[in-house]
Amino acid sequence: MGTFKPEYIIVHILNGLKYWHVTFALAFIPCTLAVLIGLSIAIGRFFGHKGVSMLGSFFMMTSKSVPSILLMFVLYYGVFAIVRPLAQHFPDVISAKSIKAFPIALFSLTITNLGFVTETMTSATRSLNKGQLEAALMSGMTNFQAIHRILLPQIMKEALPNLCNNYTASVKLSAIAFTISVVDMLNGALIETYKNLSYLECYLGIAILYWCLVFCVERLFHFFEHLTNKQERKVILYD
Amino acid sequence: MTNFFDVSLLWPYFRQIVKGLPVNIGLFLIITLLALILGLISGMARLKHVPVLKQIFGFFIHYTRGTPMVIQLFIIYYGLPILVKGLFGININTWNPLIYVVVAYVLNSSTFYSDAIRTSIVSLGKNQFEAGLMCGLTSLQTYRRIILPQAFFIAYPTISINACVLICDMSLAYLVGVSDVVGIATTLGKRTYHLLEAFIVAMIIIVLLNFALHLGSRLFEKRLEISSVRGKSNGNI
Repeated sequence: MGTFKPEYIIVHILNGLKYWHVTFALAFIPCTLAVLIGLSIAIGRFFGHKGVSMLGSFFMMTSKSVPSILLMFVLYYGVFAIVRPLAQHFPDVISAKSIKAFPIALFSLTITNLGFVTETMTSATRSLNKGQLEAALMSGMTNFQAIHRILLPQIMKEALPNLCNNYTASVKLSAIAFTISVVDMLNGALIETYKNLSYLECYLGIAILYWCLVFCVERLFHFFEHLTNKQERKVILYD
Repeated sequence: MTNFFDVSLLWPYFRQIVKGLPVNIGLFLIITLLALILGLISGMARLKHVPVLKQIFGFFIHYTRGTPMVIQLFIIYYGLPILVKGLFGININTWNPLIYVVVAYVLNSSTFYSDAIRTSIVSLGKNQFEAGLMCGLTSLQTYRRIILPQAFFIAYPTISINACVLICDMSLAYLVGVSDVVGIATTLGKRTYHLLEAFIVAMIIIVLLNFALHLGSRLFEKRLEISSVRGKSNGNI
């Protein structure tokens, strides 16, 4: 350390790009899972289910008050604490070495995202009128059809701008998975720094990669919003 | 090693780890104060379209929104000594890591505060400012006495939410060697091979701290509401 060599930044970007699939998985799978679960919680709340509503508030509280890194550590070492005694008793069936950090990171990131996504979805359902549901049920639709054809399109349209924030937050959150030694973009590039100790260049390169990723996600969501607005305009024209 | 989770360790660990709590609270207060000041400056610079400052702060906002906090922390940790040595020729490698943490988190949260303050000032409208000028106040006085108190009242919910996020985010600071709650838990756990217990205790402490902050901010918000109602009734009479 001491001198700053910009040419290493490109080397580290290329090193990090080798593991792009891990970061993509860590960034998008937890948030998509959270969207699915959060959507069901929000619809359950819309129908007035007490238990689902309590579950939703519990997730929101967890996401807001528990630091994501500590949640990840507790889950990681908690799994070890469960598996190690089992491995001592049944050495043939299970071993502590077979635990992978990646699924644990996915699970803990899902829990962290879940609260924020649930809040997004709940606020989207609040903008809906309960009359929509009643009208759909009156016209002979089943519950599932009413959700699928009437509620879901409106919820998704309302939720899109906030979902964009949730997805960018999820991309940024995924970087902490390197603390439990998941080899993602950051860790993949950091491993190579032992050759020339160019830590600053490494972090700058990975920052640029994340920056591009967040930018792409934002553009994508703007495109979706544009599409939904276009469709709405078409409907109005037909009227 | 046969004992993988020892419940009896939790209390002695708690007594050890809670010693890091003053560091957490002190860091939080310093960061929030400095970030509010910097957020105010950057919000005003963007509101008033100050030529160079506006672009610099705009760049910082894009940077902090687009990159993870871990990476921002390490960029400051490794980059600031090189930058300071290049600019002023001072070697700051031996300084306390707390300074790097403060700089990184102030830069990060000031962008959020800057947006909160800017939007609340915009939402107030121009009338307030013009009325202040009409009464013979200078523009600085108008901001200090008329605009900023009202803007703070509007921005307060956003600021308090960001403060809760900051408490959670600050648990990353142990990565650069700060011995706060998480830092002490890590060293204690690694020394005794009981990492799970240490992290559970640290998690409980941070969650309690977060709840306390939440309650405090609720109470403060209520007081703000009362004082604003009083102010309004005085004004009308």
